[in-house]
Amino acid sequence: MEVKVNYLGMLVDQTGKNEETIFLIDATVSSLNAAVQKKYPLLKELPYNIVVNYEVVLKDLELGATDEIALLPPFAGG
Amino acid sequence: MDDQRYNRHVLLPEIGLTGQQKLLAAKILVIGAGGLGCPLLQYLVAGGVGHIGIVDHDKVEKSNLMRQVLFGTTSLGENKAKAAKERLYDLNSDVAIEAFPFQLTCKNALTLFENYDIIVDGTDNFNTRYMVNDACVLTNKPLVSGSLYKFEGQLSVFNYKDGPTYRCAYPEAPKDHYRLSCSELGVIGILPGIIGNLMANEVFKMILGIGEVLSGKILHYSTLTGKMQQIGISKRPEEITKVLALKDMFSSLDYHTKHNLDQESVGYISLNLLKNILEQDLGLVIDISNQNKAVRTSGIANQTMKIPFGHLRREINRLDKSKTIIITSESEVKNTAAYRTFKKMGFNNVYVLEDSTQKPNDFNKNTVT
Repeated sequence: MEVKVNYLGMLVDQTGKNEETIFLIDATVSSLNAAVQKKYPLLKELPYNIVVNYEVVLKDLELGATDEIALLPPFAGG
Repeated sequence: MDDQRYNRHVLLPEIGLTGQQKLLAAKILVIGAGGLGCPLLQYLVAGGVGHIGIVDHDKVEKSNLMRQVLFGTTSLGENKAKAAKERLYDLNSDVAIEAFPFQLTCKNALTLFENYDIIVDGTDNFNTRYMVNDACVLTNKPLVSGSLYKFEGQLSVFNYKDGPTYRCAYPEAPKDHYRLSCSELGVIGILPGIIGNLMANEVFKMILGIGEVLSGKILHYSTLTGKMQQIGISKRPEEITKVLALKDMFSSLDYHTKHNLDQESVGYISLNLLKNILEQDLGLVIDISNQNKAVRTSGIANQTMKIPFGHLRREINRLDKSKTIIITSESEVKNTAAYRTFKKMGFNNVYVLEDSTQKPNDFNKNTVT
């Protein structure tokens, strides 16, 4: 299944993209996370929240094709 | 009360005279009179929030003026807390403003926070953000927190009526080399104006007890898309317990060093050795400064490649991994970040050009001469 992911904050710089479509065989939050970290190894070093349909996800869950997904890191600037 | 000044507030049934009196009685501590601090202070003071403390040890620099709207050219070189106080007094002398022209530390944070109702965090680094959160948890104060990254901002109200804290949203801080701030990365000037005002709005709502406070949610805004989204966050009780356990030792903690322990130290190289390497065509100097700042590339300019820091990740794969990479820029933070980026991307021989930032006081350096 394909899911669309939005990158926020410093993840835009790490990935060079604001958003992209990722293909997942197993459509879960954990496999999505593994897929983006495999594609962008530097993401392993960064803290970020996985946001599904405007909620930060703390447990693994299944993803649907229309889910709105974003990766949200903390920002430092002020 | 000055009826004329607050007339438009008083006209609103949701505020009225009682609400305005609540505002005048409120005590708000603002940490950081920078991009976020300036606009939010302006509206708090103009709207008659009666008691304001401002903590900032920094001085006003010319590069601040494009977004730190309380300051003009006459404030250059002045302490930000004091310069802000001066401007704000002119705006509304009803408000009692106290300037704290020193750095917030674990030694002074708890005592300072005790005297205020709400703490507002507009600082520019993660160390202080975690320290402010922990001090708010320990003193049980609500925290209005805003932060910026280039074209994006986020804000939330933490520790409000038993709600999630900053650590619940972000249990883990980025490692040091990802901790760049506006001074290294840049920021669009209007963004702190927008986020700072949204923060002030949360302060007003909390004091007045109207509307919905942005607790348990992060508001994210992008200036590029105009999209504003609210993201739900949950409480992580273990993160709060961890902080509460710090109570007795908090004043002896140092948030500015505690995350450094796992970091490999940066290798430095002297200009002389660098010249040797370049003569043998073994090295490549990468100048990651954004502008033509004073970096020490005289005599090696021909062998220096300019890749602004922001473009480094994009360009890095084009570089020859067999070469020794020597990094130079005007900023120690950028040098360190670039050093670690090269290392992570599989470059084995990476050095930072010694004194490329021309800071004399670096100790513990591993310099190859």
